[in-house]
Amino acid sequence: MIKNLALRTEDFMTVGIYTSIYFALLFTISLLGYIPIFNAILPALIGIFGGVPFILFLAKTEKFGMITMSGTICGLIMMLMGGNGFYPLLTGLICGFIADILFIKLKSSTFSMSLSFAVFSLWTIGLYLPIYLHRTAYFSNITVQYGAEYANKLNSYIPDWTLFLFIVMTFAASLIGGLIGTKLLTKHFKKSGIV
Amino acid sequence: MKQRIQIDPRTKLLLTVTINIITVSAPQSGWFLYILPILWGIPAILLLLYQKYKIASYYLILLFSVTTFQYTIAPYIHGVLFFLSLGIISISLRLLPGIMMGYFLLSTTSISELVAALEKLHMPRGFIISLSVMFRFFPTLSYEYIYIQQAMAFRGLTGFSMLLHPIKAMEYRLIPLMVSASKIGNELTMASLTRGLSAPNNRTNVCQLEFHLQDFLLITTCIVVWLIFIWEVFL
Amino acid sequence: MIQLQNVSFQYQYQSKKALNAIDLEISVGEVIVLCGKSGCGKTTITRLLNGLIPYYINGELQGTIQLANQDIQAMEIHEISKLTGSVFQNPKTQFYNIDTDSELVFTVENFGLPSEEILNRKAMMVEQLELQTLLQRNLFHLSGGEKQRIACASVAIHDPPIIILDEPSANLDQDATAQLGEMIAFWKSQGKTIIISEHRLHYLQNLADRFVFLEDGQIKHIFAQKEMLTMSNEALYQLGLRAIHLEELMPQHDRLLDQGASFKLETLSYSNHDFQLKIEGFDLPFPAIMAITGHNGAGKSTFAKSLTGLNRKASPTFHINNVKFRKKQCLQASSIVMQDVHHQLFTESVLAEILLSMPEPNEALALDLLALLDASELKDAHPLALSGGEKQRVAILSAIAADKQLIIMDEPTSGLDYHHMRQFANCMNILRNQNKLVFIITHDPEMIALCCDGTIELSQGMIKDITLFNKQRV
Repeated sequence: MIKNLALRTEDFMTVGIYTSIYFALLFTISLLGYIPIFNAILPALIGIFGGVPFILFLAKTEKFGMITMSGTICGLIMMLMGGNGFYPLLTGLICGFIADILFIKLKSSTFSMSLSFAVFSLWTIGLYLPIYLHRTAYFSNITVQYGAEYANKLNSYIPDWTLFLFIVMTFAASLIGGLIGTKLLTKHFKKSGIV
Repeated sequence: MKQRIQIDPRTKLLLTVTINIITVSAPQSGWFLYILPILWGIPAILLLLYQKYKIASYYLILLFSVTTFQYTIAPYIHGVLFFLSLGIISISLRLLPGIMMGYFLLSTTSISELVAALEKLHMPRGFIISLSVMFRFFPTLSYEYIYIQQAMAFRGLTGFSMLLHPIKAMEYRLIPLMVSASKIGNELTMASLTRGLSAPNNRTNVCQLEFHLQDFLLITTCIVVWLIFIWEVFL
Repeated sequence: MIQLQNVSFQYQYQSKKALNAIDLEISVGEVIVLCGKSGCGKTTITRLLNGLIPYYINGELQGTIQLANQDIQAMEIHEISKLTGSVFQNPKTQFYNIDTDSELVFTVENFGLPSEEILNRKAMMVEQLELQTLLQRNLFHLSGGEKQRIACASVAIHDPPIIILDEPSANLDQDATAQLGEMIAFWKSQGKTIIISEHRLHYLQNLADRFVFLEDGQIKHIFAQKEMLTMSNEALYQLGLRAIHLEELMPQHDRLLDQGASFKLETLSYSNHDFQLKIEGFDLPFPAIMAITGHNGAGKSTFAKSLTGLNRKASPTFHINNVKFRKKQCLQASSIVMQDVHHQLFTESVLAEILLSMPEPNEALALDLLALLDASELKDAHPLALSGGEKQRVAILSAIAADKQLIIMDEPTSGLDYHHMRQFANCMNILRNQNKLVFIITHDPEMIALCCDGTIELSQGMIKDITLFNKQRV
């Protein structure tokens, strides 16, 4: 029994293949992030559109560990790509792990897939954690450049409770994304026998 | 063209992690007043070393111009909106060294080198497989996407009409892409299994990785920066 | 060397057995060709021999399979892969790496051979197979034939006694197929046992020792090499196999091409950083089915894309019956059936797919079209669930439904067996009756003989020759 649960080469390849689709989509969307307005809703956008490839990944996942690995890899690449500190790796690992447990325990269903994806999506919050957790360091830099007045103003635009808003927004958007994903999955992949 | 001064991929990894974490979390005071500029400068030096002159110059120009801008013009400008946008540009630029380092890592390291580095660092085998398959898949995805775009062009499914139906646009693009990717992924997995990828023994890698003087210099720099970081922040 | 005893296999979600009580013995050094219609079981046998069944592919397996006197079911797949090297149909999906050097040594790296030995073997392979020009290159930029050569080298580098090939020539042109034949001859001279599952038999006629003909999962007949060579093309067609004697293929001259209508292309040129296309203007009868032929890299695909305006820089201009089409209009007048048909299937039912293509959705007309190509029962099926030939028919139907006058087909018959290729030729005849001008990019001489009205041969970005098979006018 245990032998069957161990991740095999082909499982690792599956993780790589489907995570690459999800990540390519994520990366394309995040290019929009250079426009200030979109920056704030990136995690939500990724949640809505990323659902489709990720749900397909979930449909191919039967063993524990694959989703965790997916999250960790996404987090690792985001960390290496720059600008986010080590938080993406942490959130990738943790959110991936929890999403993994949820999915394996709840068994495959539209609800569990969407829920799992919503939890997984929270890893993207890691990209914004530096602002909240290193507030002093972050804004001390800005104080040095622009003066305390500006720093305080900016600080007041991003109070701590907005983090909570972020989390809720991302979770909700990802649930929707997951539902879109499961709907498309049934419509196309189940009907055509690919899954 | 063989690169004269080689940086070991493990060094690149350490540098990327170091620069990314430190530039984001360290306060601009004390020792770091001097360390941060060094960290900002390292990617530029490395990019120049590897003849990525264009990118290196963009980076340096951006860095210098915004820094100058801050100290000269910025104090005279008012208006919330302008400040906000300036702030966002500036925050992004603080992230730029990390991004440049990441770019350097990914554009100057072949997958085989990266895999060799990870194997030498004793990363788990499965993890390395997932990561290398992922990178190998990115170009495939872009080629497949181009074919799909062409098919859509012939059917008149591009342009404005698509903006009006975003869900449909997404469906028409993503579904064939995922079908393609599934098929290719399946065939790739089969081919790889028949070539011994699942063999449990230790894997050889023909990439010979060696540390040179430049690696020792950079690694020592990183260690020193980390020690100072831990000292200042936690003690 | 290889023994299959009473082997039966049924794929997991299928109701019929793919293989039924197969008994086959293959001696050391033999070259065996598995042939038969699509679905006869030849690919399944190759998967049994390289261990993918049952390790990766699920299903019910009965019987015993022995490789070099070892029971295959007692071996792990990586142990089996030490004895076998597998070459697959699609060159671009077999590569684990992006650059050629890493790919060549991938297999032996996996087995953990010492570095020095790996480099020695690599050097030996490069010399024996003359791969010098292919080193240090990006696999994505190689031609189909070059990719297949690298694939062959990389599966042989660990010197396995058995080589298994699954429709290896499907995506290759004549030259590359000939090179593949040379590769197989080379392995044969090394004493390897070679099993090839194939539709195209002509390049193997002097290499194979035996041809194993399969039908519905059973071995119907085994031809010795001499026996196969005496089979006429017609006799082969009866069995559903492709022709061996290619030089006997004659284009059918009983079609009279309409004199009144015409297609005229004005001078076309296009260049990008790696290719230059210069096409002088020409006239063609309309409607017609024209084959676009030429070696790999001659510019067939670029020509088709430039002609239809997909390459915007080409600025094509053509006239159909004295009506001028320029640039964007060319794209709007054209339609394409791609090599990988699932790049262009977007919807969840065949009917929806056809309706999507129509300028004005008209269900009655769509149903008529389905009947035209004998596809009425596929109406509600999901396009992706269909077989390769059926998917292609859906794509052709979409092209007809789009009511465009020009249709481009990209390698439609590579990998099709005789029956499906015939079916395709019938579709082409129907298209001609629908007043379409069809350009088929192809390497398939049988198909050209069956349904084409002429060929446009390209070489190095220029037209080498235009031949119309029937020069008679009404």
